[in-house]
Amino acid sequence: MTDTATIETSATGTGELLGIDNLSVSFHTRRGVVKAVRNLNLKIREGETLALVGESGCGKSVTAHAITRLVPMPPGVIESGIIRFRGTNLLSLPEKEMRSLRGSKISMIFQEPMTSLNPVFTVGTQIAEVFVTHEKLGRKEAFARAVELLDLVKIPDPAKRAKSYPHQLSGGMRQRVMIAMALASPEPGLMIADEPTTALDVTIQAQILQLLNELKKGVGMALLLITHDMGVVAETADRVAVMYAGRKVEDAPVEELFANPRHPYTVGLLGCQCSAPSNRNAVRLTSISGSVPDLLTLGDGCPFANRCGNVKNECMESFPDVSTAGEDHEFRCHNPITESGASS
Amino acid sequence: MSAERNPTPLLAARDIQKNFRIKDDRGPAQTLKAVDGVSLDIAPGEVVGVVGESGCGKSTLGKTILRMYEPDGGTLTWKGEDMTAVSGAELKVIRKDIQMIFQDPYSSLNPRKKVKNIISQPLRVHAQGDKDEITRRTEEVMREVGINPVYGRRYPHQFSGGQRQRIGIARALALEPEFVVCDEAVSALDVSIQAQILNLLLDLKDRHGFANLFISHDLSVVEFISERILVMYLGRIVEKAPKTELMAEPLHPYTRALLAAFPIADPSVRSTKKQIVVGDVPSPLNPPTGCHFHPRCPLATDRCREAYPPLVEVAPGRQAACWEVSAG
Ligand SMILES: Nc1ncnc2c1ncn2[C@@H]1O[C@H](COP(=O)(O)OP(=O)(O)OP(=O)(O)O)[C@@H](O)[C@H]1O
Ligand SMILES: Nc1ncnc2c1ncn2[C@@H]1O[C@H](COP(=O)(O)OP(=O)(O)OP(=O)(O)O)[C@@H](O)[C@H]1O
Ligand code: SF4
Ligand code: SF4
Ligand SMILES: [Mg+2]
Ligand SMILES: [Mg+2]
Repeated sequence: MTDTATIETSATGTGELLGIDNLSVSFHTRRGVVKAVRNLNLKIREGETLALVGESGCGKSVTAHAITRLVPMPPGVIESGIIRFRGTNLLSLPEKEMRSLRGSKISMIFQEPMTSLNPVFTVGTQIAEVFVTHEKLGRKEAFARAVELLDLVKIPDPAKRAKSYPHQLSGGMRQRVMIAMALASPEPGLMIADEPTTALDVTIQAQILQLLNELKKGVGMALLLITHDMGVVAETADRVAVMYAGRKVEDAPVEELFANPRHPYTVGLLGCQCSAPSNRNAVRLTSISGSVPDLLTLGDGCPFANRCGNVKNECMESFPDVSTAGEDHEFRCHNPITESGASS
Repeated sequence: MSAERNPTPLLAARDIQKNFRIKDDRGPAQTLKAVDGVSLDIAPGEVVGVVGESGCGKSTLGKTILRMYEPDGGTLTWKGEDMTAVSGAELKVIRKDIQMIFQDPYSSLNPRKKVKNIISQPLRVHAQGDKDEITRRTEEVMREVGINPVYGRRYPHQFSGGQRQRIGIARALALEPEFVVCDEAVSALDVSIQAQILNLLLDLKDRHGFANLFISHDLSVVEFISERILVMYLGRIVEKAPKTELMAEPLHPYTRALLAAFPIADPSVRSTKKQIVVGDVPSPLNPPTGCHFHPRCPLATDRCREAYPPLVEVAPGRQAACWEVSAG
């Protein structure tokens, strides 16, 4: 490990596994600069499940790609920031070391399984490859382990399916292959799961989430769970970070976030879920009017201003500083929802 | 509630069958029973939800009752008249009153056509007045769904996903249909936009009173919008019930599993969740013998493995296809 990569921080001792400070990622496109992630701070403790939620395009996947150093550059540019993993800044780690970290201590389940599986190898071979590389197993033994993992992620007839190519499997099965592959990693400290169950049927989703939870407890792995489903969040997360248009707008323990949301976007997001308790016998859903602003033309103000019922003049001018509400609960808003739930 | 309804349903489907021939590289062609003996009634103005896991035949059912697919068996009646036999001009007349809204607001709109032409197309096909009248109606329906008519000259890619779904809705409603099938109409949308579109559909339904078959794999969406719910499993209806009753007390073991598996957006109830079904969804090409659910069912007996249970009334207004439930 090089000296530049190791940084002494006060984070050691607080149980921090991953710490992101002031991360900004943009894409320099022909149409202009897309500020996909802006001044993001995030922390995941050992063994914790952090859910990252927010509207499509708000920067969830880009954040995950930044952690694993898979942001395509160009057009991507890491404008600023530090990503600490057990005290090491991943952003200054040599590519070779990063590669060995990926798939061993940090594993990832991607949002698009089709593009991340190799079409010319059987899925069994691809999973076995992880054992061959990281555990130096023989081909045959590695393949047998791959079959075990396919069974673990509830693929029916795993021995036969291991010999299938990705295109021969349904979307849900491909997703489970991705999960199996991530599980093949030797001692994952952190698993990043980008919408791992979105393409799955709900009974299968429930099984996979249960499986991830068991594995998490079993090996003490932390999970960064990216999702847009607040039901999944409510059932699996320890903490939740809410993003909107590239910014983190709120961050709190899961029960606290659902019971006492302070940011108007969080309140809107919770309210518009069909399964929200407040919509139980509702005639209409609470909805957020308007749509997400174009990241290309976004100014310095609060990106939610064009849809916010609490908007004030200063919201147009500056992005709010961090406010805290009780233990471990942060938000950024000039005119937050008051604690009782009524807007001020 | 349903007992007070108009006794003549708007649409009645009896024993609908839709098969697909599946040909592998090797071996003979196999028959896939995508919809296998489904019956349903839809009253004027009623919203009926259809839920079930991927591949259980929801879309095929929707397309078959609209006769976008020719049924392989069963009958369809529209306002008491047999619509299975009609074709050509007569079918066109019925089709005017029946519309479909699709899942994908990206691929269901022709990318090379201006939005106003997309929306006015059904009006032109069914010759609804002269050019001015068609323009007037197009602009009216655009305003209704919240798209400013000044954007009529734009192309679909110049709109957001939610706006494109509004365009799809405008196209479906241009002819003021009496019956609309929504197939995963909000599934591709972000939740905040999904809520806008669901509210819009409810507003439009209140104003125009069309009946709605609302297909979705998302139980919470179906629960929110429907009055009655049909639960499908491998081509068949396994339970039919008014929404409130179904959610309060699901009877069929599959419905129970589905409800138990559905994540609830409330972390405080996390610990009270019940056990979920094990096992995978079987292949529709080789459905299990007897009750299709038996390999995953905690209550399965020998009888379940031998014979498929009929869909029978098990309580007033409630039907289930399960030997254990009908035995009481
Ligand atoms: N390679 C790229 N080139 C240009 N822009 C990009 C690229 N990748 C991502 N972006 C932009 O960055 C922003 C954040 O994208 P990201 O994929 O992180 O969203 P997301 O939160 O994961 O959304 P979703 O829920 O739809 O997956 C988006 O506006 C996206 O268009
Ligand atoms: N045109 C077709 N040709 C052959 N098989 C088909 C065709 N359309 C559907 N099927 C098959 O019929 C079955 C039912 O499909 P259908 O699309 O109706 O399911 P669904 O319930 O709508 O699923 P989803 O939730 O994934 O949309 C599936 O096994 C599917 O593979
Ligand atoms: S009140 Fe202002 S700062 Fe807070 S979310 Fe609304 S627009 Fe943003
Ligand atoms: S018929 Fe038997 S197998 Fe089928 S759902 Fe009922 S109890 Fe279960
Ligand atoms: Mg993403
Ligand atoms: Mg479908």
